[in-house]
Amino acid sequence: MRDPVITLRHLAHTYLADTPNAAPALVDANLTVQRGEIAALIGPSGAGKSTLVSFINGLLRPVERLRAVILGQDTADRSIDLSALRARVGLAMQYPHQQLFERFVGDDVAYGPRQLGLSREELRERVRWAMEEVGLEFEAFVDRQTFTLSGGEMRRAALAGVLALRPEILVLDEATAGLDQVGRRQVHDLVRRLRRDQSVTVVLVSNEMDEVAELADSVMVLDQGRTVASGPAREILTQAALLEPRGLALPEATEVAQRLEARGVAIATDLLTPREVEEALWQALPR
Amino acid sequence: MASTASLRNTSLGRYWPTGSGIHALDPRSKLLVVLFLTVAIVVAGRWWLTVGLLAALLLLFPLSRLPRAALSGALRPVLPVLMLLALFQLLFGLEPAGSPGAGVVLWTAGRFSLTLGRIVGVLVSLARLLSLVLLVSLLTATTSPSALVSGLEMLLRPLNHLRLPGHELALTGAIALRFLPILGEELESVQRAQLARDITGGPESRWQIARNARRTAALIVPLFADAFRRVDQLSTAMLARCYQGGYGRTYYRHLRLSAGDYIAFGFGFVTLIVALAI
Amino acid sequence: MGVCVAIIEVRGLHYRYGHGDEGIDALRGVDLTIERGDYMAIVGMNGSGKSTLARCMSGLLSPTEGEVLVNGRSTREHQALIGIRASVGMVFQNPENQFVTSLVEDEVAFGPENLGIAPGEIRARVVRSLAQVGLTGSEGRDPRTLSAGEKARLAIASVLAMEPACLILDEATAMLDPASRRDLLSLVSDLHAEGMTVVVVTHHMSEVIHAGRVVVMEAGRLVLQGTPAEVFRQADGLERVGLALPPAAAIAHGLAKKGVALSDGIVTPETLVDEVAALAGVGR
Repeated sequence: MRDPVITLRHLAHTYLADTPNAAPALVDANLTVQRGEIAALIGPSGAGKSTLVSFINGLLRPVERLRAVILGQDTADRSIDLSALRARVGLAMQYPHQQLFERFVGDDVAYGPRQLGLSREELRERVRWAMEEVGLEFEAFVDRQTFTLSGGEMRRAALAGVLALRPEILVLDEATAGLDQVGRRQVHDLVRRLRRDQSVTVVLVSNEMDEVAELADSVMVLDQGRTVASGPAREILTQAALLEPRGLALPEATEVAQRLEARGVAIATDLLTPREVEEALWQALPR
Repeated sequence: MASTASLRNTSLGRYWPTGSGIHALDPRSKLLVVLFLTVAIVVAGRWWLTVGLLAALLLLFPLSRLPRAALSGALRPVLPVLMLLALFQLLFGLEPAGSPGAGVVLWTAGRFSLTLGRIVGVLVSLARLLSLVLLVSLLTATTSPSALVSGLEMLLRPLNHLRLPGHELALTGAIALRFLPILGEELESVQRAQLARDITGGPESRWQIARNARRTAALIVPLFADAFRRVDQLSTAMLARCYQGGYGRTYYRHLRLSAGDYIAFGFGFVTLIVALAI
Repeated sequence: MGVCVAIIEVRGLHYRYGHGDEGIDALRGVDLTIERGDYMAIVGMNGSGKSTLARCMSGLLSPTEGEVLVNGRSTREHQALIGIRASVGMVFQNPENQFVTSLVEDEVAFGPENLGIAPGEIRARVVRSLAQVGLTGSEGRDPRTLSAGEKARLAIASVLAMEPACLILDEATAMLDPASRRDLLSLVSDLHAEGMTVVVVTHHMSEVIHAGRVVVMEAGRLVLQGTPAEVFRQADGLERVGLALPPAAAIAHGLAKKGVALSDGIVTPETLVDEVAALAGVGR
């Protein structure tokens, strides 16, 4: 059943419009994401990905109607109060230190849900749940001061603060950059868990092709403010001609499969992950 | 969001590169001339000297090919304050001896009497203050921030040999200048992050003082933390490149003085002597 | 040939941040030797102590216990520190927080200026360093206008201008997109080919494949050492310390475990493709 939670149609945006410093960030962006989907947004730096993301959580409003419809709300409609939307769309940004405002971790994670009118007990439970989901042990971290956290701990705290609002849509804007492999894997597991248990829709902005290959159901390629391609991950991530001129690359496992196919080995060219390639080769090689 | 964009594009102290002769002068001579003229403006005893200096400074604006916006941008912020000061001085100030019109009473109201001398005094004070404002604006309008810092650094070089922090001071200025736009961007990102988690409804209002105050306060912690982190990284990187202060340092950049510099320097020096002597 | 000159010798190195009960032992007894011409990669999870080790090796931190010798001089010797820091150049993660000036050429000149090099020689070094990193022609630009990849290269150039014997890159690729990361690593390989001793500190296993030697750290200690192939062979040991093999190596390892006749410790996609093609009996 199709249940689009994000519909962006021919979206355009210019910063500082009508001034001499006007800079077009988006020209013609299109994105449709179904509930429970993990959609990836890839593109060279400067393509406008962060701008696009700002339309998803209502930080920016389009001027024309029907350009950005999020969770059924047309964000161009000035009569709609978008702060309620922001409770349903969580945004985790690239630099965690920019997202921690409070002195203590517990307070910071509670920053969002505190505004929901929960009882003290409910609030505490919410904070505990969010922290455990990201792997920050509640008792150990709730009273830690935010500026004493390591980079990885900061990132988890910031993510907990976003999760604590129990958003229906979670946007990860390069939110795994700088994480080591363990941290990255934990975020991936979290994403899958949220999708499975709560039908959370995830928008993943990332240039780590291997990560996108692991997680994404669908992929949209943004270049200079324009959507140049979108479709199922298996379709988009396997086209070198689409990716390489834009400074992107095939996932390494896909590259291996395609090179082997070119050499004459009987293997499909639309494989994405090391596991898939390993399985395919196990079938294809003489025992 | 609009407020921080204007933080970055403010026209206060703004540099207007027009390529005039004044722009081409060595920053060192400009800094020294500004120093001389500042003293001259402050100590000038004769009203005609003060007015003359003001006129000369006003003339330098078009001479440097600066647009009208440069002049108005310099004056607009200070005019209200100056008017207030002038009013104050008119009501309560002293009459400078020897000024034209001293003792010529124009109007009385109770114990207060307005003399021509006082009016002249106020005008001269205004001229003095305006000259100072225009002088500094001229400097910033015709000299890029990095040139200013280089000039300052070179002037302070003799301090290095005495093991005083000349280079350190200038470098601090340069680094502060360089990080202002970076911190500005940081502020914008922090605001975005905060707005993303601010879900209390209601229309945006300038008058929600408590809420706006809380929002601003929330920005301070991450901004300071960020600034300290950057300072830490920067100082480590500087140590890694063997920075030890100014003593024993050599210099890659060499500014050369031209004829114009000597002329400007001479003019400033003469003006200073005249102001001190009279 | 003769004796290989050890540029950096680390002996029984301990480093502790802070004091008393709140102190953190970042390094707990590390022994390591870096020889002239080496290309070494130091890998480990965040918090394993790899950055601390890098800073001790370049004289930015003084050992709590043990010793670090650079060209025979100890980093505990205060007088030797300037020479050590000039000899072991360090490039950090965020180039924006390393730049001090607002012109590319001034930035490259900053290091030599600090060393009291004569202005004429500084000019020559600026030209040479910018050429080495491929930024010739950008002398007059403001570093802020450079792309992320160019900023990283400028940071390297400004260290090269001090003519170090060894270059340490502390997670210098962390802020880069994959294309710029590839370019930077390629530059590092070129510098190594020209004779520079290189140490790359990273948590990306895929950056390790060009190194001559790999050292794996966990909780302040070295737990694995060897060539990339040797280290990749020990995939389970890597898993234990939170590192994962890059995709090609993971595929090779998985197949080898199932009994496919692949050589031990395949590291690059190219090698994997060649061997599998050979096994499948197909042409080149």
